[in-house]
Amino acid sequence: MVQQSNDPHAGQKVDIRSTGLKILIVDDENMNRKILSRRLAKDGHTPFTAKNGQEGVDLFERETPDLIIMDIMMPVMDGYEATRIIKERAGESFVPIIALTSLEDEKALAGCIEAGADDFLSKPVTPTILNAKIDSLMRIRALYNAVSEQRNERDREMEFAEKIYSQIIYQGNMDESNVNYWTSPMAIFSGDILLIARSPSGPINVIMGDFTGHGLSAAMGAIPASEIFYAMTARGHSINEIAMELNRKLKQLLPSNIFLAAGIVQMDSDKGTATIWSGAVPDIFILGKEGGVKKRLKSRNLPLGVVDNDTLGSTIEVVALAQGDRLCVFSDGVTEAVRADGEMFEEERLEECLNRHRGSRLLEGVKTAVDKFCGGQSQTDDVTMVEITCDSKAARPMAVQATEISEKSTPLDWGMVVDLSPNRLRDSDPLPMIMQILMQDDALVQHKENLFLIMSELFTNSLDHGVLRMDGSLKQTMEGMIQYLTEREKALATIETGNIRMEIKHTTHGDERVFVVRVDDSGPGFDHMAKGACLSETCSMGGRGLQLVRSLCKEVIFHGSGNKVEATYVIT
Amino acid sequence: MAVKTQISEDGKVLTIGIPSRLDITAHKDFGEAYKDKLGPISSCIIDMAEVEFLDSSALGMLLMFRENAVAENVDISIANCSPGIKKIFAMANFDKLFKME
Repeated sequence: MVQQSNDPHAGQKVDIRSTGLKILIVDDENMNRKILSRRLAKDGHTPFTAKNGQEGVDLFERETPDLIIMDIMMPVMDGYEATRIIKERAGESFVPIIALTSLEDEKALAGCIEAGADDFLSKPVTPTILNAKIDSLMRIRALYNAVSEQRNERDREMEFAEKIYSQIIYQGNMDESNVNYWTSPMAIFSGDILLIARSPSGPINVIMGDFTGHGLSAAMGAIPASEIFYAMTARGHSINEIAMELNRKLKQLLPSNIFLAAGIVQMDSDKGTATIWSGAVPDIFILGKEGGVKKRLKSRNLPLGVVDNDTLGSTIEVVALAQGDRLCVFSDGVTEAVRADGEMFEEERLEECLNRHRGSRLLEGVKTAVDKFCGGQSQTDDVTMVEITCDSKAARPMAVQATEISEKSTPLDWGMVVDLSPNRLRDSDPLPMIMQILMQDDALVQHKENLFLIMSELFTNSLDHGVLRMDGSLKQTMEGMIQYLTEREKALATIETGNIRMEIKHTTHGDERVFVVRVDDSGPGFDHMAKGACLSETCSMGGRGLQLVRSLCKEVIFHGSGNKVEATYVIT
Repeated sequence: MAVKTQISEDGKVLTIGIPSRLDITAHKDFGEAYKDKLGPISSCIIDMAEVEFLDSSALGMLLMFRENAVAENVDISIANCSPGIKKIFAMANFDKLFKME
């Protein structure tokens, strides 16, 4: 890549030379032109001469001189006019012009500077002063060039960075029909983020976040935050999971003085519920279809990226909504907008304003009210507001989403076997590890609860009854259940013999993905045909597990003496 | 993460926060969470916000808890279930036994 050096000192070395310059002399007096030319040529410069302003402008265009010495009083076009034209045509580049005046005429001198001349010389011109002026103007030109090169460089980098930033931040769909928003960042890079994406099962996830500070440093955190939000939304993770992962990552990445205040909302228009995680943002408002505040939700959590996940103790709220109800999230740029006397807009004024605006242009109403309140005070923080309507017509059908998902992922056939010896059974629990591996497959994430339940039931059944030989009938009563658990704990701690083998196979048949779990244990098996199980209230404490597995799976088959079981779960 | 409990200021509402995985390993913790606490309270909320996985022993635990709560005249509800967890409750007909929020 060929590029001008962006080291300002390197640039100065080249430009500060005061010899070998192309210098244009504009003077109507032949004698003056001759004397000046000879002197400049002797000093190693290349002089050009023009008889009047018009000729001067023409020569400037043709020769692009480094410096111009301009007489003022000339026929055809005077020095003022020529200076104005040349300065205008020079545009961004700096062409120093020295005006020639007589010292007595102060008015003419001021006029020269006003027309755009950079310095002046009084006649008669002495060589020492002339050289000093040329040197000084060349230094100014070097500085000017260095600054403008740096500015261009910064502009190019900003433009490039902004392109990348926008691609990362706005990869979701900002055009959901039931989401309105309004943002006014203070700079290209904003400390506020607003991300909108649809989760695979239909609901819309929205995060309105506000990083501490604004500008570039605040925008840095927006990149990992948006990556996490979009990836986890696409995989169908819950709002709580997204909040926890954001917190974990931001805590790890950001210095302790930068964190993210955020309102994360999942709007499930079909079910008529909104799930909300809010940390350190102004109150979230819920408005009825016809307007008017129905509910105000206080922020329940610490901002993201301050404390560890364990300390965060994240709280979410679920709110039931009627069709047409609207949920509004505002950044503190709204509530903390300040007017001349230092008074802030505050949530009370916001609520009042929301109650007053009954029409559809709610956010515009809020913006107008804030502007009016501030009365011309300039904006001091990024402002973001979002309005999400509970509108089942805006929700896309679930079936479409499901096929999109399976098209996106590349289904492969795979399998795994986990052999568990007594030591492993005693000291570790294989299920979290297996689940972690399974969750690498995006298409399985939506089925995680079911897959866990199936594997947990089959594994626990093998462990408790096959390996530990526990008596399941104990579980009939509450006292028995407690006894059962105590005995189980003891048996597990002293286990010496017995093995469990878990085999997981994943195959695809067209659109169908088949997930087979096989669990073999070293135990004697049981009479699976006789085992009755029910799910009603009158049912005992135990026996429910197998029934649940049966209702989730396409098929559950026992082999051998009942010590081998195979469950087939189908994902369409 | 362990089972978390919180009693409201007026001492009437007990909230039990369930960790991400509710199965046989959480049995003891869960039992401790409400042991000796049901007497003075009038209602109890089981907060499932963090729960990712549960199995039938979790259902058993909840049934045991319900039995205890009914005996003490405590009104109980299950809150903040994820859609997947809700489905499992529905499949086990638990939505008829517990108030789901």
